[in-house]
Amino acid sequence: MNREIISGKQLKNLIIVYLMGAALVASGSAYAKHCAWISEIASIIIAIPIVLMYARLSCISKGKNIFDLFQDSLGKFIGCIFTLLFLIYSIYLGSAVIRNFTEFVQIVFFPDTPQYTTAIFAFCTILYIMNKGVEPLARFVSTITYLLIGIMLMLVVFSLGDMDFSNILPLPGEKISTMAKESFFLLTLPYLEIVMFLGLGGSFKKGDSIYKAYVYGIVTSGVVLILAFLRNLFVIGTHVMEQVYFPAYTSTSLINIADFITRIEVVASSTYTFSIIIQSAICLITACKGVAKLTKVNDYKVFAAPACLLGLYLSKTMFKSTQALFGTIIKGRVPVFLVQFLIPLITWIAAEKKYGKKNRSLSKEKNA
Amino acid sequence: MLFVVIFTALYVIVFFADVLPLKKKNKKKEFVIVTIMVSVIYVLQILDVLGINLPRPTKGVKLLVSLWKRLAGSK
Repeated sequence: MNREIISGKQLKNLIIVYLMGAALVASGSAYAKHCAWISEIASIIIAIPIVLMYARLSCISKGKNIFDLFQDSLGKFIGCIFTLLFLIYSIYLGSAVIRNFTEFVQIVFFPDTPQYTTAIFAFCTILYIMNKGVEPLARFVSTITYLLIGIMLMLVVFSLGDMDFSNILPLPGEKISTMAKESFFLLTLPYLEIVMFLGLGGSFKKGDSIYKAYVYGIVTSGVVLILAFLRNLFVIGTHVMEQVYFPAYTSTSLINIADFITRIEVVASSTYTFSIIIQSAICLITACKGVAKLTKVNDYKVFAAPACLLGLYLSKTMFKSTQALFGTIIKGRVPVFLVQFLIPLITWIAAEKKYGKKNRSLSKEKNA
Repeated sequence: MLFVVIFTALYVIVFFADVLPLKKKNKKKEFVIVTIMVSVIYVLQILDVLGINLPRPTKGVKLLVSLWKRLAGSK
């Protein structure tokens, strides 16, 4: 079995690009309207301890991923149930992300082209990435992360001329309960979606700080997403943001600098495409690792083709329409939160009992 | 009908490129599992393309959410 190694820096870059995925073009608000940026800051702060728990889970047992941890620390039966739940969530997320992308392409570019056409090309790329493995993916992502962030910041600067800063007022315009609801929504989508990286658990380089990578990753992408939201708010305002499915695309399409720099939304779309493909690939790699664990197969890559084909099928059939897609994403946040928080929490407690003792006794022996 | 042809071609290509080499590498167990998986997904895919409505997987999520709401409401 080939072991793939990702450094801490590469993990950080993967997390940044992964989180920028769907949120980059959507980045609207579900409840809190113009105060969503406050909820976004709150959700990042709430996400940090949970993400630290993910980091602890990743390094508590060296060389093991979350599926190994499930069975090692919770026993075979509960381990299998948790593996199955995690597996279903990863396939759901991988397919939903691609469905979001095909919806975007159909709504914005090709209204008459069937969504399957876009999905086939997307999944062929994902299949190629999965067959190559995590290590080349991490190396590739490391080369483009700062480019993507740079493009994002450039779009914010270009939009400065169209901004109406009064759109942010009145400042405490929403109830605290509404903002809390928005925070919870933003927590489940996108910040805690990095639970998928637990599937890559055994691939992290020894000596590199996983904690740092997780926290820097989430904070950097959080800042970029808040900037994207504020840009949308200042440029198109809350009312238009509520009317469109992809506010970031709408706001970038308004950029016009002296009739020289126009139609720059294509750049935004390409960064979105990169992030989406990478996000879906990571979800499906985790799914493959889950199937490999359940079927007791060593090489997860043999399941790349069925995972991609299932993703292709589900991306079309899972949601009836665009409204159903966004509706299910909003409604499904409670079961999703259970997978993102409760399952890792139970596993962490159990793993701490098992591996914590082992690690402590090993370090005592070393000291003696 | 066009998508039946496209998907059949896609699945054949995937089978020859990704699944069949498993048999040549002497990974019999993996070959059997992956072949079954790909065949089942192919049948589902073709049924969907032909317009036969199968229950959506998100129905389970909706059921869970409504159950959760009922439980929360009863409190």
